[in-house]
Amino acid sequence: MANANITAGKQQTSSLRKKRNRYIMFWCWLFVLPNIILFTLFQAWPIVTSWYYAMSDWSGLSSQIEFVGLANFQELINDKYFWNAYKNVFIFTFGSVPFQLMLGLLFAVILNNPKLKFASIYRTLIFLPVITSASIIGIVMGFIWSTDGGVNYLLMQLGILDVPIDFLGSMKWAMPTVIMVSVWMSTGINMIFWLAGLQGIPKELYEAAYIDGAGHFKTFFSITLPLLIPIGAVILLFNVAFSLRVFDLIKTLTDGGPFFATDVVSTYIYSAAFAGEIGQPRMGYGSAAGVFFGFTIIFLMLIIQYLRSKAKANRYV
Amino acid sequence: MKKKWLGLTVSLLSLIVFLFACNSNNETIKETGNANEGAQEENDEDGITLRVMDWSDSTRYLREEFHEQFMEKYPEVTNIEYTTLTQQQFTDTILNAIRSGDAPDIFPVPLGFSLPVLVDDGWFQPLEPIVEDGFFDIFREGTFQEGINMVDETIYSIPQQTAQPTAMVFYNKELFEKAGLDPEQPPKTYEEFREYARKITEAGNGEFYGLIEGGKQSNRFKFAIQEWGSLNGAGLADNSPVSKLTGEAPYHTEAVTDIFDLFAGLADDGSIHPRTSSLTAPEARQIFANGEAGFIIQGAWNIGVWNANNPELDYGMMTPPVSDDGRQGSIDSVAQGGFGVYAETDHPDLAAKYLEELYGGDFYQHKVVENQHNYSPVAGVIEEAATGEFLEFYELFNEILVHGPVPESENPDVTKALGEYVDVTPSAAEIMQGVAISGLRDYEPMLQDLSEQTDAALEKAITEAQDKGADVGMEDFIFPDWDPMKNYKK
Repeated sequence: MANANITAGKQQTSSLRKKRNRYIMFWCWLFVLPNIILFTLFQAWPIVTSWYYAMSDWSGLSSQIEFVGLANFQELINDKYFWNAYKNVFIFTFGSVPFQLMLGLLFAVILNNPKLKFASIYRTLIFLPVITSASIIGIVMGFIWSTDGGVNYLLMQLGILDVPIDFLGSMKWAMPTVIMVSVWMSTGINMIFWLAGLQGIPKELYEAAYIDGAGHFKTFFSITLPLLIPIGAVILLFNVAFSLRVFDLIKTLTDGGPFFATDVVSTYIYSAAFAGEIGQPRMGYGSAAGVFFGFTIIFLMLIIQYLRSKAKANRYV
Repeated sequence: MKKKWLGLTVSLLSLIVFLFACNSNNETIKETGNANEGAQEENDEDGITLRVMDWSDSTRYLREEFHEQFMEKYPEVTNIEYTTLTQQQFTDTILNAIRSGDAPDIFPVPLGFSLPVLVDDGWFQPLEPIVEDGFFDIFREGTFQEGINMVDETIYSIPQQTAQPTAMVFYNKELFEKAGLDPEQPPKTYEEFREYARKITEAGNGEFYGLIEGGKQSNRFKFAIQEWGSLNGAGLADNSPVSKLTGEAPYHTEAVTDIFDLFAGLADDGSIHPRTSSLTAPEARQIFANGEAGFIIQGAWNIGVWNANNPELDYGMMTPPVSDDGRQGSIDSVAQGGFGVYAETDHPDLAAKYLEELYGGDFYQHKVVENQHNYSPVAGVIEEAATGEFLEFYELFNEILVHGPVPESENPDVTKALGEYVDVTPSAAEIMQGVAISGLRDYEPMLQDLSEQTDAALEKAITEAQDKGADVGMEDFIFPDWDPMKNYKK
């Protein structure tokens, strides 16, 4: 009898637990639902349709969509200007991401010092480019880096240059210039991420290290940096993804020029999908380029995630 | 516990409100279509609203005046909703408006779009059934071209202006004098042009330069190659990817490479304004007006702007330079798309009246010419209303402009081949951009490659069109009986 009571009690508890779990799940899904709906409408559905468009010959204007299978992809991999854009976007990423991370960390460490006066003002100033539209930055930087712009003026006043450099018009200088502008633009957001990481490190660790006689450099390399690696991996992921998808800054600053020197995959897609001279725009071909590059980004992210998990297994992260 | 329930209830209510808001938004969108109909019905009782959209911001003040006059004459129209956007905004907006079935009553063919494709997709309706008989007789000869304003010989759109060159040359007389050049004797050949630009640059000593261009826009270079090349015998025009004289892409021939050599020479001399790479066309126009360059390659629309904003600018105008052998051809005028009436408009008759008044009335066309904005496509208006530099420019370009053959007019199936045509990258304009502003010098093999690829792309397009049943061939793009110094009359 007693056993039966215990069993019945257990069943009742289990049933109550299940009911409670279902109740919690219901609320979880209910709160996530709006996001799922919006994601499906504005992200998932366009991705699915772009796969379909990628296998079609379609201008984006007409209702006539002709299925062409993998022909767009075949054309794409034979187009040297696509590979030029592909190469450029990696040059841009590898040129900008390390500087964004390092400068962001440097500013974060400096501004994290509680003894620093006016830290919030500096923080705001460094963060300011982040809240400015990339298109506006592109236009303003176009003036600043022009032959009679501020940068050339400064370099000539300092005696570094005799004649101005056409930073945005020169095939040699255009990409480094775009990278510099991008680093300036993105350092602020990285600084905020690093600051969040820094503020999560227990102060006791520093106190103990100082008592043990460790200096600033020792504590930075032995405490700060190792403890920042987990968030660093996330920041790296975010920066790589952002840089690979760069569009607005390059569109407004150089429009992919001069002569394709800063043409990245996004500007390549834009030209194919929305511009035409005698021929019509090629939404299908542009979609194929987008899908192809999308897989590249996914592949890269998987590699980064894999490295991260390996590092975690080895207790680096 | 109570607080928890209160929180949950509030959250649930918020969610319900949110979801309802989403839902009602969708319904609002749906209803807009019906509501539009409802609104139109309401309009019919209280007065009608006509909706017009384009990118003609410089003539907006005249259009608004015209709208007042129109509404006085047709009191049933109580409101004209007139929207001006940039060309790119217009393209995006009109695409969405068409897709949602809510396009304006009157709007132009977006630039870069093929009229036959749009007609096929139900954008525009034929104008002949809705306008008065004889309305089209008021226009200049050659105003309507197959594939651009007509589909299967039916008119769908009316150009806003007459065909005109976009790569004529303006020069600064004051800078000519400073460089010891005679402002009344502008250069005639490529060699002279380069020499003049070099002398102006030397005299400027960093203050001003030989030539300025809106180098950020590759289309500015496209116009120069097309028009200057055609004067040199290239046979290029906007309505064919190949030379109309030979049926082959001419980019590797002297007719085009001469132009590239000239621009490479100008760049080597340092005669191109250093800011050219980062400028749009309007910015370059203003810098020219500021006296920072001796030459600019531009069109008639600059005249009104300079006269209004820079009356101190003493400028001259000239036809583009030619090779030492003299002129070998003409600029082949191609009509512009212009205004059409939305296929689904509720007020086709009033839209037609709008067009009749816009072109046939005695206000608007005269004013746009008088105020130096556009060359009207209506016969006789330019001769009556154009004055000063605007008239001078018109007379000047008419010396070198002809009505070349229109492949689509000869065979409407050409449109189907062009619909299959895929542009080649890099285009001649992109290569020229590299030459003029980025030090690209190895352009000859690129031009050779461009010609070969263009020929191949056209052949492929023709084959694909043929496979779909079009009766079109390479011969439809060649006009051996056309003398490029004269209008094509077959």
